[in-house]
Amino acid sequence: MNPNASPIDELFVRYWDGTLPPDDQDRLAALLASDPVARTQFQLLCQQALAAVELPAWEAASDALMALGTSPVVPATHRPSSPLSPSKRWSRRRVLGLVGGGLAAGLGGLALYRWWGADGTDQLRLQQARGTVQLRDQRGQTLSVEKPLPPNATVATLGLESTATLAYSDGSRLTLNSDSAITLRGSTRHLHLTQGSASAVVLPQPAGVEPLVLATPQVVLPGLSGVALSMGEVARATEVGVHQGVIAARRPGGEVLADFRQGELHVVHADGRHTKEPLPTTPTEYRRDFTQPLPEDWAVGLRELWDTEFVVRPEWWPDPYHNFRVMHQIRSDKQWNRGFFTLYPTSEIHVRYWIDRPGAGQLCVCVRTSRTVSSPTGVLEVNEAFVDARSREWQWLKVRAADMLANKEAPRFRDPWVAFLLVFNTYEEDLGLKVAEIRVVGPRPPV
Amino acid sequence: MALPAHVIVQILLRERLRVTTLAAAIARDGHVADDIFQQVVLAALENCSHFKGHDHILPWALRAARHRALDYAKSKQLRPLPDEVLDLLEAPRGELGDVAWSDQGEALHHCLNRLTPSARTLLQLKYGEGLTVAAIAARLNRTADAVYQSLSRIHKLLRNCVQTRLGLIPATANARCEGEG
Repeated sequence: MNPNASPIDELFVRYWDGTLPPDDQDRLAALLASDPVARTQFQLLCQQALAAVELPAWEAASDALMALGTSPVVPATHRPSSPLSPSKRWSRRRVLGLVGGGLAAGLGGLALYRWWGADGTDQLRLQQARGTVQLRDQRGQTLSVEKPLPPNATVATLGLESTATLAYSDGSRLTLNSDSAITLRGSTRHLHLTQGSASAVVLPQPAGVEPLVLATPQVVLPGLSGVALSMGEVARATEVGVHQGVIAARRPGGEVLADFRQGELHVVHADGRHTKEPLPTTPTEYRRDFTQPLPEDWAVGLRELWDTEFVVRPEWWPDPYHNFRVMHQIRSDKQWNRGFFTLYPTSEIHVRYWIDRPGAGQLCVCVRTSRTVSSPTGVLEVNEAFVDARSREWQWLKVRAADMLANKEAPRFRDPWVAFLLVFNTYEEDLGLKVAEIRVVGPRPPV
Repeated sequence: MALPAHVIVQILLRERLRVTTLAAAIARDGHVADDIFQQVVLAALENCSHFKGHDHILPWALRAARHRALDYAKSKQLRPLPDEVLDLLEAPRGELGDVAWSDQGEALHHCLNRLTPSARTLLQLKYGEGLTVAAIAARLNRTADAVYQSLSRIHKLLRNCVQTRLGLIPATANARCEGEG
C-alpha cells in the first residue's frame, strides 16, 4: 500500500486500468455509494484523466524515452521547428473550459466561444504534430508553429508516421493523416486537401460567420457545421465518409451534387461519376493475390507475370521518412476510410514471397484506431523480415500482430488496429523481392 | 416553446466538464468521453424541439452520455459501477457544490503545468495514450506496482493542488506539487 495515496487513488488507477479485482470493485462501489467526499475525489480523478489526454503526445513520448536514456521518439529534424511552450499550449478542452467560464460570467453570446486571439478573429493553429510536419506560406517559407496559420498556408505531413491536427478557436479540428497536404486557399476557412487523407470534426457553427469549406479537386463540402467526416484521395477520386451530420456537397464548379448523410460513404470521381454506399466495416480476415490488376492509386510497385503467377515487385521510391533516400519499396493504395483489415494482437499476417538473396528488409503496416475521424496512427513492423530468407524459392513470412510492436512508431493506442497502408521496404538494395499473396488470419480466441 | 440551438450549445458547453466526467467515469477513456460529449451535443441539436426549458438540458445530456458510455463499456467488457452509484455521480455534488466545474477545470490545468515533465509523461502515457500500467511499466523498465504507486501519488498531489488553488485546503499542503516525478 502506498502511504502517500488514499484508497480512492489506488482503486481509481486500477479501476481505470481494468485490473481491479471484483472484490475491490465492490469496495470502490460501496465507498462511492456511502461517502460524498469519495465521490467528489473520484470525479476529480476522472477530470485529471481527461486533462491528461490533452497533454501533447510527442512531448510526453520524448520525455519518456529521454528518461530511459535513449533518443527521442521523433528525431530533432522531424519535429516542428519550435515546440509550443507550456504557457502557450492550448487545447479544445481548455478553450471550451474558458468559454464555459465566460458564459457563466454572463458574457453570453454564441460568438464568444469562437474567440481566441486578441483581435477577435477566428484562427487556425497547429494543435498537435507527430513525425515530420511542414508549415509553409505561399512563398514556401517555413511558418512558426506558435502563430495562427495565415491564408494560403500549406500544411504537409511527410512519411508514414506523420500526422498533424489543426484546430479552430471553437474546437473544430482537422487531422491530416500521413503523407497528406492541405492548403488554406485565400482564407483560413477554405481548406483544400491536395494530397492524402484527412478527417474533420466541425462543431455547430453560428449564423453569420464565414462558412467552413473543405474541398478536393473532385468535390466541395461547403458550409460545414455539426459534422464529423473523413475524406481522402483514391484513384482519381475523392472518398468522403460521413460519421455525423449532413453535408450539402457540390461539384468544384458549384453545381449541387448530393446531400452526404451520416453513415454513408461517397466516392466522387474525376470524370463526374458519383457512388454511395453504407460506411463499411473493416474485416478481420483478408486475402489478396495479384491476379487482378492493381488499383489505379497503388502507390509504388509493379505487377507482372513472373514464372507462373502474378506478383508485385518493388520499384525505387524516394522515401520522405528516410530523407528522400531512394529505396526499393512496394507501397499499397491508401484505404483510410475502408481499411484493409482489422488486427488484434493474435491476428497473423502471412505473406507468400520470393527473394533472390537474403538481406535487410521490412514489412510495415500502417494502422489507425477503429475510428476514422481524428484517429491517431501507428506502424506495425517486421524488421529483418528477409535476413534469414531462403534464396530463390517461394516461402511464407508469418507474423503475429503482437510481435510487430517493437518499433518506435508502434501505435500508442490499444487494439483493434485498422490497417490502411501496407509497405514492403528493402531499403537501398534490390533483393529481387516478389510478393504473390498477402493474407490475414483473424484473431485467435483467448485460451 | 422550443429552445433555440445556440442556447442549447451554450448550456452544453458550460456543462461540458460535468458531462465528460460522467462519461469518463464509466468508459474509462478520455478520448471516448470526448467523443461522447460531441455526440451528445449533436444529438441535442437534432432534438431541439424536445427541450421545454433550460433545466431540461443538463439532465438529458447527462443521461444520454451515461447511456452511451455504458454501451461503450459493455462493448469493451468493462464491469460498470452499480446504477445507484451512477445516479449519485450524475446528481449535483456535495463537498465542492459551490465550486463551478469550470473553475475546477482551470485549477486542474494550472496544477498539471506545475508537475514535473516525468509526472506529466506518466499521466499522458496512461490516460492520453491509453496504455495499461503493465505496458507503461515495460516501456519505462519499472515494475507495475511502482507505476501504480507513482500514478496514485501524482493523483493525490494534483488533488491537493486543485483544492489549495480553490481555497479548500491550506496552501502548505500543496508544496509537493513542485517536486513530484
